[in-house]
Amino acid sequence: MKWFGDDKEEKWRAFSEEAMPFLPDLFRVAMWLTRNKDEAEDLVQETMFQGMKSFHRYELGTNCRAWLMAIMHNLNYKRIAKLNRMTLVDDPEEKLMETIPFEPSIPDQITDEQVISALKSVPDTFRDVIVLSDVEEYSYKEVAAILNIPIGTVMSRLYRGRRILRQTLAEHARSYGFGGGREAAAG
Amino acid sequence: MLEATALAEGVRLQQVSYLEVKKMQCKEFRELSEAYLSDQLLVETNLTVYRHLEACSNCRADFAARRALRGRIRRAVMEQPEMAISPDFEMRLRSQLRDEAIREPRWKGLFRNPRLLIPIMTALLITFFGGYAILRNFDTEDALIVVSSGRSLASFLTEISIKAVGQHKDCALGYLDKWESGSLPISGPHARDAELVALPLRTNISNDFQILHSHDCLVDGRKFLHVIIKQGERVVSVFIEQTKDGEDIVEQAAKEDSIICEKENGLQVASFRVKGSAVFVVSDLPEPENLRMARVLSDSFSV
Repeated sequence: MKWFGDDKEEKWRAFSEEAMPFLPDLFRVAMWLTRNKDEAEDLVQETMFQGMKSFHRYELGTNCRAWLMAIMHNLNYKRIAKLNRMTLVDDPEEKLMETIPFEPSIPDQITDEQVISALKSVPDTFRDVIVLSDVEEYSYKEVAAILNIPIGTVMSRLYRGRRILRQTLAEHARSYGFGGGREAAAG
Repeated sequence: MLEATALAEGVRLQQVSYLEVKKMQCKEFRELSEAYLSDQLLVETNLTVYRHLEACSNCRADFAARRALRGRIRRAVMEQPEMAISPDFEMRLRSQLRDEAIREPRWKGLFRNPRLLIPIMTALLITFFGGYAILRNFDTEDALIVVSSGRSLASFLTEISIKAVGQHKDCALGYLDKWESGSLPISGPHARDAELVALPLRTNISNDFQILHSHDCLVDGRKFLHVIIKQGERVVSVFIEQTKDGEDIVEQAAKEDSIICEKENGLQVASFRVKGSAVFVVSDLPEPENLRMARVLSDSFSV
């Protein structure tokens, strides 16, 4: 409350300078969360309005990007809950992981489209952590705060998510006729 | 089980040090490799891992592949066109947020309280009929032009002028590098509208008016055509209200030849109304020059 007075223009200016530069980052993550452009725009819009409403709680000069990202994930949880699409993925993935016998290497010929497709196929729980950590380059601590989960869980999900991703990419590669043979033999 | 492993890794991150583990084994490296990849290890542990990688070609190759994949994922996502925010959405959202930020308090909330509803409605009715009775006695030529909401034309234009100045700063000046670079194309209808603005200015004032961009913007929740033009180093915004067919905020009796000049936040605004649309000319030009542009446009649009 100390950082701006009652002047609405001043308040808008502060919010605009701190938060608006992160719109592209928010939209990119929203696309992963919703997989739909219109829904992603709605989610970003809701996030920004919520952020502006709560801006008095934000301490200027701290990590605005992570703060907005946390708001967006909270709103997304509510959105999913509303759509009644909440699913538990931990147990099936635990079993899936146990069935992966080896760590295949990824051939260089894999295309960007195949990388995106593989990332899309990773279950949401793990993909959210990969996107925040590997794409958006948040630290474990920031990811934990954004998703409201312990750091240990971030590490665990990242470990599993990356492994699923490598496995999926190796399968893509094999289906296109390159790579994977040596690893399969080794496995 | 894996959760337990991760937690154990977490503990290890805090405990492993160069002095304690002089020589790391491949198994230990694999446990730490994910955190090393994310650059989340302590400095001492980093050094231990680094020394192991120097000595072990298998782990080095494995780690290089993982790091390459991580970079590959980031690059693939960043370069996907569908992952990029649309400039239209960005501008629309900025405009909506700004409107919300500077909006007056929600007086409508009063109506939610049933105890206040009756006195408020009574006061409104008295005001409405009282105002109507007074206005009936005025000479229509000299009377203030009254907007349907009860505001005069002058107060209506003044109120929106402040927001038009804000929009000029946020949109025209805020994205000036994009407009100047020409990276955002102008749609066909918008290009034609921009010409209708630039042409009379070029004909009557100077030939060096250059169109930077033209698009729709929201100002005070109303849709405006926003034409951004440049004369020399001066950037000028012309906002033209897009009224729906037959919809008119100000009664047709409005005096359409009056131009209101104001200075808001260091910028000049000249506003007028023509054929049912409010028009705002915003720039950092001196008042006479800004007014001259508004006059030219007013004459041109009135034809």
